[in-house]
Amino acid sequence: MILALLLAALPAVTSVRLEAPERDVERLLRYVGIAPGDELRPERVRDAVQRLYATGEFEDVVVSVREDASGAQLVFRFVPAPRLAAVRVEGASVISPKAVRRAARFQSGEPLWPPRLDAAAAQVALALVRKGYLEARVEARAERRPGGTDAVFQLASGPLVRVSRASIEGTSGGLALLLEPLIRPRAGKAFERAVAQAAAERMRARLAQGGRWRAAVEVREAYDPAAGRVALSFVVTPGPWMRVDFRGDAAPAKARRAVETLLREGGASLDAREAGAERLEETLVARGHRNASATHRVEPLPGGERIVYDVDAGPAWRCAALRFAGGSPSALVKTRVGEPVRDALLDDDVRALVGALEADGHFEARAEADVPDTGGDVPVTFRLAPGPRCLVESFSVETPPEASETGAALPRELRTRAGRPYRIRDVALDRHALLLAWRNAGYLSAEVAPEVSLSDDRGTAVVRLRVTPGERTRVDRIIVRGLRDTREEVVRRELLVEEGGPLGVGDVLESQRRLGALPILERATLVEVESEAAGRRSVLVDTREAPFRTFAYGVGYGDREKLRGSLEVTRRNLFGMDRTLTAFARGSLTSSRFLVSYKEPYLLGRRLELYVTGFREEEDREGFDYVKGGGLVQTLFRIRGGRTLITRYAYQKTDTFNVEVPQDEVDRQFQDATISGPSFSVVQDTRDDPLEPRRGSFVGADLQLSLRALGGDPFLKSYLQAASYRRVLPRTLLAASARLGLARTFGFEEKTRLPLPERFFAGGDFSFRGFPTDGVLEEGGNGLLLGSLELRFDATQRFSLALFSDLGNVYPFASDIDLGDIRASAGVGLRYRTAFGPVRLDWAVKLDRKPEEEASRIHFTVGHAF
Amino acid sequence: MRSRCAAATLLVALAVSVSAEDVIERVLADLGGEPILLSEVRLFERLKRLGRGAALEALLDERLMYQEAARLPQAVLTRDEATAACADLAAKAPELASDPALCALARREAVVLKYISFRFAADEGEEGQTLNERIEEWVRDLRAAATIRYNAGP
Repeated sequence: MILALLLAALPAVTSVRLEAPERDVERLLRYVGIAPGDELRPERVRDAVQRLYATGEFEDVVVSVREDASGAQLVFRFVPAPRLAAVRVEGASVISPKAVRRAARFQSGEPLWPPRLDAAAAQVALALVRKGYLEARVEARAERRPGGTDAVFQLASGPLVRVSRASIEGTSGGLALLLEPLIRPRAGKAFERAVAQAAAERMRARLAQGGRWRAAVEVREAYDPAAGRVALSFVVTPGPWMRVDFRGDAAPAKARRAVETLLREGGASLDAREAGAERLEETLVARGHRNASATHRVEPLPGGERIVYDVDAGPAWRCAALRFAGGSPSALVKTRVGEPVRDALLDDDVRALVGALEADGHFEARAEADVPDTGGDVPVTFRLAPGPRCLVESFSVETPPEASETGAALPRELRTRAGRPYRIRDVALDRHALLLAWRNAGYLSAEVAPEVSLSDDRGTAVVRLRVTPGERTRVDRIIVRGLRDTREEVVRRELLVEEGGPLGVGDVLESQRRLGALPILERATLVEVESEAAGRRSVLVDTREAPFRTFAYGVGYGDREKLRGSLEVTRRNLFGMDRTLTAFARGSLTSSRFLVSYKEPYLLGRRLELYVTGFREEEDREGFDYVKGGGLVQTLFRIRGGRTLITRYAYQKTDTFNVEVPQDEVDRQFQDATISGPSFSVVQDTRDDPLEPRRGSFVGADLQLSLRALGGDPFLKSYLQAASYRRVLPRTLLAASARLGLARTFGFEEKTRLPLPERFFAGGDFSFRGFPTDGVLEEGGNGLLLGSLELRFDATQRFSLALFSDLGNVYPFASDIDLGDIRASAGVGLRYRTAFGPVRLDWAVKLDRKPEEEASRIHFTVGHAF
Repeated sequence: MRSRCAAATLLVALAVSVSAEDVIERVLADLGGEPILLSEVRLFERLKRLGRGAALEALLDERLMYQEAARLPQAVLTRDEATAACADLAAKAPELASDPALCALARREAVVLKYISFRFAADEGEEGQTLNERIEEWVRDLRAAATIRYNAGP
């Protein structure tokens, strides 16, 4: 009736009222999308309810209308979803609410719908059974209360079932004696099924280790409900003694050991035996035995079985010479003279050769590797058939005129261009780039068809990419779901899609990536939701908040400090705005350090990070004591292209006292100094990996000012550094670095160096490697010039070798910088790649050694020099 | 006196009728996270001439079948098929033709029909089973696997 009335009359909406807490009204109105003056259309009301429901906050959204002569008054009422506030346990007190929550895998604030409660009850019952309450019954219900809903678990645990007896069956004598000590749980102990199953697995492993590879151990339970006792039997099927023999050609010892491990761990099953044969063949093939084969069979033995591998290695091929027919791009192939011939490597080489020819416009290029069948030292011939070389005569992207104005911008750089070689791969990549651009502009069903016309002699090609955009999809509404403490704007400001804007595929993915990077969210997914409005879809941002408090602590012992301890407390998402406050304290009998830091990720509503840090540390060291304290206010602005702008004000004061050693024996970072003033930094980092860069560059410029008016020692200091990484050969990388430091003091009558901790130094693991740490000019200076070149050669997947040279010097004053006074060292190094950077061993020799100096220096550390 | 009483009664009646609120939308059930709305059920009631409860159950069945059918590429509608489905249903219920939900329902039903003709034409099924029985069996299976929550309330 009402529907009919609405459809017939479509009255105007005179008011929209939300019966919701005041703090939520504005946020929820965004989802309603109906305002006074709008026509009361049923589809808009339906859309509004669907959006509100999609937030996950409500069990029901009830929309009422009251009509009068002036129009319709809309009222939205909300039935909140039963979101978890606390877990309560009733009945038997055999498990804590915390353990119940863990067993049920509850997330804070998740809705307690009946199916979820049933599943939670089942999980808790299972946890009780695992603890020995075999008759446990658990029911769960939701109880609403102001502020949330409690999950109430009613437990009827039944008796704690104990083990009446536990025995080994299926074997006797020595084997039983061997396994007897592994029985768990023992008689009299609470029955825990997982413990019994783990014990059975240990028994099986023990038997397998002893040569019974097919051993099996099964746990059988006999439960007596009346007594509340379970009798455990570990039923052992020992299986035969087994051994493995290798016959025929000799297989490498490492492969034989690997095969034995496979058999033992795989229960000598058919799969394990097959895997063993494959392992043998792979090993031999890698050694050039291209026709290697290994077969297996089982032979009976008195009291056991023997698995026999018959190994036929066949002849070994070794590359005696590399030949190229139809071209000589030898640098591309990985097959090497003197090394085994491997078919997989030959296939790679053929692909690389064809790829190189295609890159040069030979789009029909073919190649094959020719290896004589004889085995032994043979020449490997790559026969190349380049075919015609084709150049792009013209290249165009064709778009329907009606879509060209509102359509996607062309990708910045398409690979195909007139005059360049015609490459099928480039056309495919350009097609993909265009497709992405259009789909990112909201044309979700866009298609791009390549059309290529070749000239008669196949020497030129006319290439067209024809775009069929299809309909454009726009974002209707953005619905944020799953937030409890976080404000919605924190999520919305990370989104690249906006309401009314195009629904771009790339923007959706990038938005999801940015949300995933927020430490306050444990999970964030973007899902498109159909909308009744034509050409529009809503975007549902489904989130789950991460824990906001984290604690970290540590205890250690050192020669000087003796016992030391540390505690770090982090509170994330302060005020629901992704702000972070961290407090850190470390103390020992001789030292203490306190640090408090605050991070604001969006200063003044922009992507501008603010850090405020304060610290104080003091220590009684051997020969002197010191107190250091200070603060830092820093803003960090990230720009596209890997650039970062940093501005900061820093104050740091170091006081050294009780000095019982010569002043120059006090480490320079503890020398009396006060810094107070602003500084500015620009960093551009395009390295692919900061720990193990293979390409890209790093450029940094710092300017630091310390002023007496602000309580600091007066000086101006600038520091420029640049590093570049590029691969010059397939396995060789050239790394280059340059550093320039210029500084001066002011307010003094004569030229003065900076306070000791602020001066420039060179020498050491990460600097001038021909010198010890800070050894180029031990008292440091106001000028620094340093350049390094390093060739890094990948010897294996883990090891690399390096050849390097460092040049430069430290000068007392910037005006002393003299290129004629450059020091030099060169050296070689070995690196071992690890997940936390390379372990590095460098040996550097001074090329201009002075009489009092040592000739060379060895450095052993973690991380590259630059 | 009598006329005053009559006038007062009329005023009260008018006031009540003016101030009375009508629920025009709400969530009647949840099917795997998707809301089943009052307006959709009402539309179904009118189209299929069913009572409220039966209409809700029928709509749940329809949604379940659609969710399953929409996963099959062969059941995707062409633009013409979608337009024809809308026009057919609008012709059957012209008084509801202006509601976009009718068209959405028509498209869903067309997808389900396409799925049924594809699936049950290719698969003969057990001997003696009519098409209706097989569809009913299919819906029973879908129901058994589905998570449905009904909202209590007015």
